[in-house]
Amino acid sequence: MSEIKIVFTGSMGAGKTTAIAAISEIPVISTDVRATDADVLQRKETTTVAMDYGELTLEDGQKLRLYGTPGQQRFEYMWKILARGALGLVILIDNSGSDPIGELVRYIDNFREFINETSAVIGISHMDTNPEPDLQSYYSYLQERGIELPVLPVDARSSDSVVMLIQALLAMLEFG
Amino acid sequence: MLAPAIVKQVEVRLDKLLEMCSAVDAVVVATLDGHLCAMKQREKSYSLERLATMGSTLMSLGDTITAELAMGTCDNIISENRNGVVAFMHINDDLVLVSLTTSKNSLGMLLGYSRSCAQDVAKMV
Amino acid sequence: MAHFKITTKALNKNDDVLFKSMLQIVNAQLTAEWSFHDDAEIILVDMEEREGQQFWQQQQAQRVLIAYAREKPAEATWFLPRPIRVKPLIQTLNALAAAQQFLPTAAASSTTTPATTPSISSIPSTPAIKTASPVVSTASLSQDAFDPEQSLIGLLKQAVAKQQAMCFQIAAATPLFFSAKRQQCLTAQLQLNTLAATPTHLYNVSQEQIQCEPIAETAVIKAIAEQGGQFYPLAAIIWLTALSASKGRLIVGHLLQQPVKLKHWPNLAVLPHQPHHIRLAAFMTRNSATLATVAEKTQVSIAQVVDFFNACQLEQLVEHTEQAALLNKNNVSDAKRSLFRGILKRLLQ
Repeated sequence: MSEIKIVFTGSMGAGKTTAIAAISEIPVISTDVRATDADVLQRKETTTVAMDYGELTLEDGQKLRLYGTPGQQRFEYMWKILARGALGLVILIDNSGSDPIGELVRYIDNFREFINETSAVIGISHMDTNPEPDLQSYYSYLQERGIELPVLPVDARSSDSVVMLIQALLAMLEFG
Repeated sequence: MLAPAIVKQVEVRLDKLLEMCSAVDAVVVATLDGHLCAMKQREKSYSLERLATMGSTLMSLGDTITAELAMGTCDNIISENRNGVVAFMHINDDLVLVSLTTSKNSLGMLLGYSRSCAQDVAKMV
Repeated sequence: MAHFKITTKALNKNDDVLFKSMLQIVNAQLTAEWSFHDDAEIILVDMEEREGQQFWQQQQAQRVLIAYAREKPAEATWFLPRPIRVKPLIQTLNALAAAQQFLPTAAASSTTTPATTPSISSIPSTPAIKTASPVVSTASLSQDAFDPEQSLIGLLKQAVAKQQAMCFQIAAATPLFFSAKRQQCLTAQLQLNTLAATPTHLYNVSQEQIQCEPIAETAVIKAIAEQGGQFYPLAAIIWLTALSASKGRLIVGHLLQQPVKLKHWPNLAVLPHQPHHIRLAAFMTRNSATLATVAEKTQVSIAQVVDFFNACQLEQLVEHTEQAALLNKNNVSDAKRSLFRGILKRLLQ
């Protein structure tokens, strides 16, 4: 079997690097650089420009590789490179952003083919401080487009929370 | 991002690079997070905005690799290809210079002139 | 505990002996008591034998038949793969036992009160044992149906309606406080795994067993200061109660043979859950199926499927569909399944 990997993608500031760090057994290899976008700087100082990388060793010695993509659309070429051959996709959306549902649309559209072939789970971060849009709004959008993916609030700092997203993803891959 | 006046100065320096080294076909200055600051090319044959972003990705990967191997900072990344050469290099901690030539035998010139240009730009910003 | 009798038909001598001994071996792991009797109503039939096939044709409408073969025959609701192995045997018997308990007349001598005729006129009456298939059986809607109003849920609803802060408790267990002001509940940390291992707790008993006392809002605040604990949304407590109190009984007003689908995933970030609930959510949001089919496809016991369904019903996540619609998803290879299990195991360490 080829490389076993799960890809974390999603909006800038949603916590992709943090989520990978929450479950990786190695220090995350990241390509964060100082951000210059005004909207990024409002939320954080650095941004990922190539990828994040973490890993987990399975019982049989195989490695589960965790890749994080850059968030901004201009790095879209990296999304495709990183998603190639992945088991599935974790899409993280920052609910404190100016247009979280618009962001989701962007990622769904970009990864549509990949999602159709595999599956995805959507994690919404910062819902505790920014409850709107609520989960129902996300589901309404997805239903309009005939997409049946799980949408779950996530705390990217919590390994339990990230593990639940991956559990949901694996369940979708096997039973969904 | 650079102030417009500085961008103008940088563009003048990029023009000079193309004048001084006929082998260089295009040159880009970009922020390390992938924004295009200035660009010059002999013919409008390349999408330099995308090159700027890819340059930042590659430079950042270079930095990550050299840090992982404890080899200090990454000065250049060279992509030698069937139809030309692309060179990526740091101007400073925040800016990247990407230059390219379609002449396969001009790697030395490309690197030398581009490095000199990068040093001049570093002084401007 | 319900008691079921089972026998075999057309099995060769070796398989017959093996089945009888396996039945004894696995009995401790079964949810009901099973014993071998020649005149049993539940019959394991060797479908690869001519005698077995003939018997199946004659008896399938009258008896509860389990097909025994290498491949599942299309006409079989219950199936045990050849050769007999422990795990499939346990799964088949447990699923069958759970389904039998929904039947108005079960092929079992159960210690529980037998089901009576459904009390809601829209529910068609079911003829006495037609087949063992839960697909064509009807949940009893009287004593054997799950009525959430008879559990903690009913008491919580009353408290919400009265806008009254309350304390709920059984025996000396940790109380549950309801704050009308916050519309939330406060209690010690709730672990579904721990609760599942506890025979009796606040969330699985009938409301007569629950001490229920009005308190001042300030008492809730005081309880936080003194006892710690955490606030839970009302929905989480209702969900937990439905999962715990259902005990495999279908919620009042639902037909077991009705195909269902989930509108979307329950918010498992807030709602207490176990790994099999994630599996069920994945399957039920993508497929419209009867609960028996859900159980079969996800390899979750029918009782657990029913509990989950009830909880989803109370969360208003269920939609009823006219016809079952299963996605023709490419079969996931055994290697992939094994990989997924490996990943899950590692993540849950």
